[in-house]
Amino acid sequence: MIIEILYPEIASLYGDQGNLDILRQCLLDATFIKTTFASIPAFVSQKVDLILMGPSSEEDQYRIIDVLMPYEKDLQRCIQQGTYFLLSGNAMDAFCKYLIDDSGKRHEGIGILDFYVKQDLAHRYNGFIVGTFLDFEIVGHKSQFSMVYGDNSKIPFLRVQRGIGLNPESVLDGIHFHHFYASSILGPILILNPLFTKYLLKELGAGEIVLPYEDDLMVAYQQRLIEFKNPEIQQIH
Amino acid sequence: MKPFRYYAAILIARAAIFTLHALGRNGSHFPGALALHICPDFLKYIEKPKVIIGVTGTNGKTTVSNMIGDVFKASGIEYANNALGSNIQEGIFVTMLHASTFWGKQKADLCVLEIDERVSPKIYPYLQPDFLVVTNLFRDSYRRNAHVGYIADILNRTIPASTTLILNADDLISLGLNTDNKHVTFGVDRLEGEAEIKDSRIKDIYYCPQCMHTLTFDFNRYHHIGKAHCENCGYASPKGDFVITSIDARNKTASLRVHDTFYDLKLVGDNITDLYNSIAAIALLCTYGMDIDTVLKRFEAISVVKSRFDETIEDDKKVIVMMAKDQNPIATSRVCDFVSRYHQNERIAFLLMNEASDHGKASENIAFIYDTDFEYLNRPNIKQVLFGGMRYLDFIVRYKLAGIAADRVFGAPTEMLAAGLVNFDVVDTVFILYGTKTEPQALAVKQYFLKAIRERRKSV
Repeated sequence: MIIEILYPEIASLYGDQGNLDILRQCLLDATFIKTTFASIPAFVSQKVDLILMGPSSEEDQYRIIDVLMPYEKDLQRCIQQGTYFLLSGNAMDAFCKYLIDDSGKRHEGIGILDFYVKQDLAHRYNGFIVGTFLDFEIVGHKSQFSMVYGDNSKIPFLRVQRGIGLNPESVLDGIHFHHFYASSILGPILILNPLFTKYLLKELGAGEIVLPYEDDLMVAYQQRLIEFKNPEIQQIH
Repeated sequence: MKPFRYYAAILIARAAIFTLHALGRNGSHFPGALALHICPDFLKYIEKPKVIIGVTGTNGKTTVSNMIGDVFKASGIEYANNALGSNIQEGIFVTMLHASTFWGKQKADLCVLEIDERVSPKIYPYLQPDFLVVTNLFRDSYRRNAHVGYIADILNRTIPASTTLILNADDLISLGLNTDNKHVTFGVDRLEGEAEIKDSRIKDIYYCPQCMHTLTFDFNRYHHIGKAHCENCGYASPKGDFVITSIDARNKTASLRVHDTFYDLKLVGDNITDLYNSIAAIALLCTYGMDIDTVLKRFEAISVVKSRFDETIEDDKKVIVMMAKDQNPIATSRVCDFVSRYHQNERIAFLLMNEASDHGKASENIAFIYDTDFEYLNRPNIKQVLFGGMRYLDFIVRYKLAGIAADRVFGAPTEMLAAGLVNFDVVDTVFILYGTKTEPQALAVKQYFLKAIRERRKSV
């Protein structure tokens, strides 16, 4: 199994390395490729099973768009041919049609997702989210300057129970189609959500894996679910 | 003509301060918040001290401010400061009030302000520091500070052009601030026998700030701190104006280079962070105009504030209280590194209790613990790794994923319950590591440990 992490040197701002930690301990035989700015992405020349990308600064987002844009067709091919994608934080912004920055200037995105992004550096949204994916719940935190706009009603990742979706008016979070998963949930989403991690690993063909310290992960997950559903635990913006 | 709201703010803030004092409290936040509500641009109108020294940056602000103040105090120089108040606008407001006459006329000639980097846009338009130390810039609270580029951008936009900057020569991020401003630099050369730390989980600068080519580190102290150059455009870390070039750990002295002249310096504290804080303070004091010999002489009497490193020996056991800033992966990593290098012949318990104040009201984002180098604690002499606080379940997972043996990992939902899990039969030294909001809990746990050690002796 080949797992490619895109630009981890700049796009893993908020604890996203935790996702790699747990995948490494689950998939002992997998090859992990860290692609930096200076290198051509592995997915261009070989079959990659899973592509991971985390959040970056606004400035680096534009750099990422610039380096990935020439590979837009390769990315489309990967999506069509069954490569899994897991984008966290603002990573999905780069895959949208365009981004409007804080000054109102429009920046073209890679254009794979028919959505657009609005940044507001004066207002950072902070909050948590609990939402439903298939028959289980996913939890996470969001801290972001940007919001995504567009219609994800046919391709949502999560149905939000508490928190915000793509943007403050949306109750559907993220994007999920084929094997493409994207959410502005940041950080170690695979550690916070052992049920999703087990599901993803099974989908990837790794079988029914017992996660390292699975009991501990499950207890922490259950505790967080209780907190997030407790109305006394408030969102902090 | 100053507006009526300015005078109203002064009156109400002074009344609030008087009331708090009468109640035996020292808080500056409430009076400041009250007054700023009445007059949001208060800082614009109040008369400022003749010379304003600012200290900002991610880590080390408080210690550097205290060191500067200690030298002024020892030299008989009067100054105002916000050491007892907050480092955001409310605390700075109250400090300015203390530095002025009843109705806001200038009283103090000199002021040392610790200034939170995030509030710069609310401070610098009205209050221009003559000198500003930037200790360093790292990733900090994800919720509040976003990322280091965001903070650097805020500083770049708001630091006045007239301010002389005192910058860290070993930090290419802060070094890139307001390059047109007059500036001096401080640093610490690679010390004899000092190992490089290239495995930090986070490094906030990877590419050349001039041309985006990959940087080559000639020496990587930790994270992005060290000496680097760009093989593409030639950009390189500067040599530094005020630099600690070597240390003599046994005699607790260091060699200090100021431009091309060498001096001896008495060491303050035991770790590299203390060296950076000391040299930053010295660079500021000399740039402000103090004679280097006087500064070094005053430094001989300085010690790190006890609350930041407090060691107590009871029988054959040692209890050390240290700060490990919450939501701050760098500060917590540095503490992990310090503990991992601590006396290898001592059996250690590492008790972290740096939860942010959200518990009970919000659910704290634990992303930062996956950017923290807990891997350093995976050493044979570190017998117990514990966490006390609401997020203990997350820390247990993190510690185990860091490779620490499951039978050495412990946690409990409160600081005191976690303290109860420390086993002095297998531990000689216990580190209590608290955050910005949990110092009272840390001090209570310290007393609990000292009592437990005494009772253990009686029972033996």
